[in-house]
Amino acid sequence: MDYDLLVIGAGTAGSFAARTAIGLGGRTAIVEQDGFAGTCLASG
Amino acid sequence: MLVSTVELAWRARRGAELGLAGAAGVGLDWGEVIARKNRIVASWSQGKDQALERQGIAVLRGHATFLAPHELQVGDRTVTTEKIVIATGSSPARPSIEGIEHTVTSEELLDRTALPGRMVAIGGGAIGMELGFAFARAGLYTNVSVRRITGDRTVEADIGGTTHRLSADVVVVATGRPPNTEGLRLDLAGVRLERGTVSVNEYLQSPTAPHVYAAGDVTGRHQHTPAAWYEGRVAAENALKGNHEAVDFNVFPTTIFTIPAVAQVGLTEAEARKRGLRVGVGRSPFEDNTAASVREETEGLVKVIYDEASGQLLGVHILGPNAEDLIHIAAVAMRGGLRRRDLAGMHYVFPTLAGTVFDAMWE
Ligand SMILES: Cc1cc2nc3c(=O)[nH]c(=O)nc-3n(C[C@H](O)[C@H](O)[C@H](O)COP(=O)(O)OP(=O)(O)OC[C@H]3O[C@@H](n4cnc5c(N)ncnc54)[C@H](O)[C@@H]3O)c2cc1C
Repeated sequence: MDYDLLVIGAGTAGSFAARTAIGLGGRTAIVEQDGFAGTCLASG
Repeated sequence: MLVSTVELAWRARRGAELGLAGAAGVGLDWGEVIARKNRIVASWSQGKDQALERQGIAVLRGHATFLAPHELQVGDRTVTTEKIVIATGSSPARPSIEGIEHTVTSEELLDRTALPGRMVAIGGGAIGMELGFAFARAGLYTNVSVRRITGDRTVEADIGGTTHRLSADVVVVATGRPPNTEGLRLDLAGVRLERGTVSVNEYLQSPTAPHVYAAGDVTGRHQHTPAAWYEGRVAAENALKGNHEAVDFNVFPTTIFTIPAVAQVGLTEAEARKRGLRVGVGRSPFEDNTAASVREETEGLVKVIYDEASGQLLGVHILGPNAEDLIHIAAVAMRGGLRRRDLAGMHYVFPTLAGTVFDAMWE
């Protein structure tokens, strides 16, 4: 397996998930198809 | 962000009543308001991918699609992984209203550099209400309601049993945000969807595909930024360390940023009564608050719902100035198990808006 954890989406939830996973020492990847803001930052 | 700018302008204009000279002429340069929003958003997202990479996270660009339970296609490459967190968010619904093609989403609306003359918002949820208030306070006529949109952005709406025809320059649709699950091929991972939502247990884990977790708007439960932070962390921890933390939303304060805002934590009076609880209700209006009077912002009240026998706080609702901050007094009290009497007996600073929260604890 390439990764222990793969996160789909680099919005608010995905970024926190990826940072948590790397903090726990897991081989971590995050996938994003768009910008890196997610909805919260882009629309609020 | 836009609400705060609009509110500032609205406050400034009201400053005329408080003796501010020239306040009545304060206006909004909407092009600059939107440009500033876009600059701030760009600065927040800029470099975020590099920051993730610096932390040791592999950043893969492209659309992710499942090929098999542990195998995904990302752009033109294939990756394999033990565990997966789905955090794909949500997108605005396009309800099947006749003439829906004449409408815009909240995101499209917030990129326009000119204020429309007249706006109709369809949908009375948080986003519809916020847009309605922000734009109305920006000086527009707005209306929250609908039936059909005929050709030239004329909205036919039923209001109190009679049909009204509202002609608008822009019609914005804000009728909820279904999860982004299409195109992921979650079926190939064995993930069950419930009405388009990734269904998860209290550990944020898919019961049908135990290696898959979900966090944020895609779970269709609490569509708020703090829920996304929290669920992102919990999902990743449970995925890597085994299920050890169940999500807990017992004390989850939220706010709708109308002007003034409305904030809540816990149960409403109706919800508490439906649970068969013996409910007591306390209220204190901002009219009775000196700090609110001084600002000439006396609209609203604090309402407290508590268990009559024990005084345990069941819910607190605030409509009024700074409601979005004041609600945290109630949230902390509920989290710490403080009773109504503990708060009623508090010393507090005079004059402050917070005083009304404590005053509402007396009966
Ligand atoms: C107008 C508006 C105002 C709001 N105001 C507030 C507020 O005041 N307070 C508050 O708490 N919340 C607010 N919210 C809600 C808040 O923005 C969301 O709850 C939060 O952003 C959800 O985060 P998320 O990570 O789940 O999703 P998102 O932030 O939407 O991130 C999902 C990411 O996944 C990516 N993605 C999706 N599918 C794929 C795929 N197949 N492959 C790769 N990438 C993919 C998307 O491009 C996106 O970047 C507001 C929302 C809107 C629309």
